[in-house]
Amino acid sequence: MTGEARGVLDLVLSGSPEVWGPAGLSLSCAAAAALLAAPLGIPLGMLVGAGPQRWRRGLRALVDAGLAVPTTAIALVLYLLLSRRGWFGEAGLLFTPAAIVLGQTLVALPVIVILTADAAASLDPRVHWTARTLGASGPRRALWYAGEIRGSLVAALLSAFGRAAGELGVALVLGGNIRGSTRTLTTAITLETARGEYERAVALGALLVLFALAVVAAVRFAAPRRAGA
Amino acid sequence: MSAALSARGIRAAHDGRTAAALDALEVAPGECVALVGPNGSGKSTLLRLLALLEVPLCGEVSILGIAAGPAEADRERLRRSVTLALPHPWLFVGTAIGNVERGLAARGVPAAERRERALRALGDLGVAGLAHRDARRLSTGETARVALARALVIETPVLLLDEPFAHLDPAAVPAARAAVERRLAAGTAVLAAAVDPADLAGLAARVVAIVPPAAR
Repeated sequence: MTGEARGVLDLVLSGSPEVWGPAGLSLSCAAAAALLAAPLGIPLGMLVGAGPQRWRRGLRALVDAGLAVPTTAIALVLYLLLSRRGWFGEAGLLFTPAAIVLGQTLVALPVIVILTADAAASLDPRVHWTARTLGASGPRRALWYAGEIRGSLVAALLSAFGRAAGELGVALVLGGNIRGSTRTLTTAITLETARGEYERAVALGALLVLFALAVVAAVRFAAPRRAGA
Repeated sequence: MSAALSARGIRAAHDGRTAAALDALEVAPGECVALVGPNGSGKSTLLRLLALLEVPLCGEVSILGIAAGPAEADRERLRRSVTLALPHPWLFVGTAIGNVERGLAARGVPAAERRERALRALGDLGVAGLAHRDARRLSTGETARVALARALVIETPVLLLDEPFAHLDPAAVPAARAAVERRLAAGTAVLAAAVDPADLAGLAARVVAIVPPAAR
């Protein structure tokens, strides 16, 4: 094993706060963002995927656009709102983990809406007929549909978590990469690379990749098995 | 006595051609009518129109004398008075009894009463023993019986059955027929679709034959 590789491994295994601190913040912020986005994203996804026809296309276009907006742009808008002179400057949220969570919630939201909508739209037509003919109202039908696609909903949550954990724009612009307070894996990698601390950057990167792979594995486990697959 | 279910000149289109058509139909309370036609004649499509699950291209469906308009809110209210049992039913995740309770839950029936009525409905069809089984692991015949119990238990004034006995074990048919007969005796208007009118002999007082759209 080369000296560099051993150095990277030591950094990870020794539990260095320079590595595990950002890792912990990345995971907790992304988890909070995915959980906050879910109560809004899942009902919205139901509406887009299985709601009244007249709402579906417009809402879907809006959400697709939301997914296309770069996370840095989302961060910039929130920065202006949260900065001292912004509308919500009084709250003093800028450069706190709360600001990162807020931004990442917006990053996670379209992922949850789209994956929920796709799962709801692919429901067997008999599910819709049965729910209606049993007399279920709109909100109750949405609840029943959620039960039928619960595996996809878990997968949507995990994907949203993955997108939030891997994004840089929000963490950097709203968090500010403050050591020991708002430094996440992605902002730490950016900093260590710029400083030429490649060993540390690689250790951080390895953790990020590891988490991403864990999310992919979890999604595969949660998502419903395709027929014949 | 006025009709509980009536339809006039309804048409459904599928891919630009007529998929199903019914010129006139009336079912009185306590009456069972057989809707008979070969495979592909549009029986299932017509039943979905009559159950207000789909909007007809033209024509009118009335439930308890109230014509169903195009507004979804009105249709949703009217749908409380009609239910359709599908030929290949869908059971939701959960237990068999959980499925039977769903329609009652949608009507705000309290939990204890819901459980009791659902259990009785399953018992009427001879499947009380399946109550707590995973609905998704039931056989085709068991699924059909649980789904029939689910449709009967909500006691709607209009009951639509799509090939109700086609997927049942022969031994299960008498109990299913008896359960439908009890609803008829209670004044429910029943329209049952079948390929062979003999399936509904002794149950249906009248037969309405539908002509395949291609033959029109």
